[in-house]
Amino acid sequence: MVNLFVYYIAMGVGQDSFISYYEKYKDKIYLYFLYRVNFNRDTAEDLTSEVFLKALKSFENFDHNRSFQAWIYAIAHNHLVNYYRTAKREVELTENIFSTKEDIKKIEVNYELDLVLKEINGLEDSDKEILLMRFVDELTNPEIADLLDKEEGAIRTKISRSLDKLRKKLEK
Amino acid sequence: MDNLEKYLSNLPKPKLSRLVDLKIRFRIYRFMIWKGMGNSMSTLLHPHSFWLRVSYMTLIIMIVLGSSAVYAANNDNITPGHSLYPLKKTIETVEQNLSLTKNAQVNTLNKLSERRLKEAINLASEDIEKNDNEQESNSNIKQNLDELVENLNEAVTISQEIGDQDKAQQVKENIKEKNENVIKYLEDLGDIARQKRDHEISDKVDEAKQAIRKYQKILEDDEKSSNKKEDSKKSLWERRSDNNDDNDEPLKNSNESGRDDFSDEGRDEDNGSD
Repeated sequence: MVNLFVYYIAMGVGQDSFISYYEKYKDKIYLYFLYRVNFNRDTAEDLTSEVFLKALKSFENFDHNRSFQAWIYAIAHNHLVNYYRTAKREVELTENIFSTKEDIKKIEVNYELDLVLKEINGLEDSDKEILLMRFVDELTNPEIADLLDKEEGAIRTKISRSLDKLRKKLEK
Repeated sequence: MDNLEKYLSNLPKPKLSRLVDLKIRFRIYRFMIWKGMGNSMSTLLHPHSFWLRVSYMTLIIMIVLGSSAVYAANNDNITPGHSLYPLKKTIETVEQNLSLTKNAQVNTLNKLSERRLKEAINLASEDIEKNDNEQESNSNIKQNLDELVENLNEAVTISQEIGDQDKAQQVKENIKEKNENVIKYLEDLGDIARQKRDHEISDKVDEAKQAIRKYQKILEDDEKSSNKKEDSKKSLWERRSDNNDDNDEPLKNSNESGRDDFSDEGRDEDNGSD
């Protein structure tokens, strides 16, 4: 009974509880999936739900000295890879994100933003991924470095180069 | 595109809908409840602490012993030779030791007598069906009948030691009633023995019947003598009331003599209860 009480406290109450983490990261994880599954809201919602349940199942093993953000993004990334693999839906990130006019309408972007998104999709996977991480997921350089297991300086350089590539594409 | 970074930062960032949020929360809470309960159950089922394990083992042993004891104590099919019979006898000894008043002791002895007899009948019936270990079974039946007679004898002795006449009378009535039942059971056992043409058991049954009749006679004699005492008491009271009607002086004498008589009787009762 005491164990049960302690478990519920750990899961549901306090700053380090799972519910507080969910509250903080639910929209970010949803956004992460939304930009990577061709803006399919249903799929993004399902994947978000699955990722949090996956995280919940292994939350007892989570080291609280580590960053929860890095941990949940790592889970989300692996889950996304599995999703593509198991469902055999090889949605290439190089494809046009907004394949139809309806997709564009769904998120109500203006013409300039639409143009930027289209050009992002034209970039190489690594450039596109790092730009999405930096400007959509709003991760800091150290966080991206942590996620991609690279040096912070390398990330800064990579972002700068990716931005240059995108800028050149837009100027054409 | 002068300020590309600004454009990128302004890319749309839709939020998780409220409905989906609620759905996810529901799934999380449901999982947490099950998981939490599972953890508690798992701790209970797989205790890590040494003392918790010891407590579990003790509890399990107590449950097993307790349930076996209850089963054994209340089952007439647990007869001599059965693996649970020693446990049954142990419980009976405890039961006898816990009978603190004489009344309770007599009741326990009566119950045990009847139980021995039922066991004997079961043994005899089993023997007819299986027809093996006849010698051992007969020896157990005889032993049970001996114990029956012994218990009844003890019950009668204890009943005679009860000081309170009313209680003693009640206890004796109980014994008599039980003895009548016992005789009926003995007759059943006698029938079985005759069917088997087992003279040893038949003789033993007859012996037991005789012993019980003897005890019945003792109880009846006790009853008669107590009735006589009651009558003498009544007549003494009647005489005293007659003297009261005649004059005061004889009343005084009679009161004195009455007191003496009562004190004698009181002494008798005291002796009896001692």
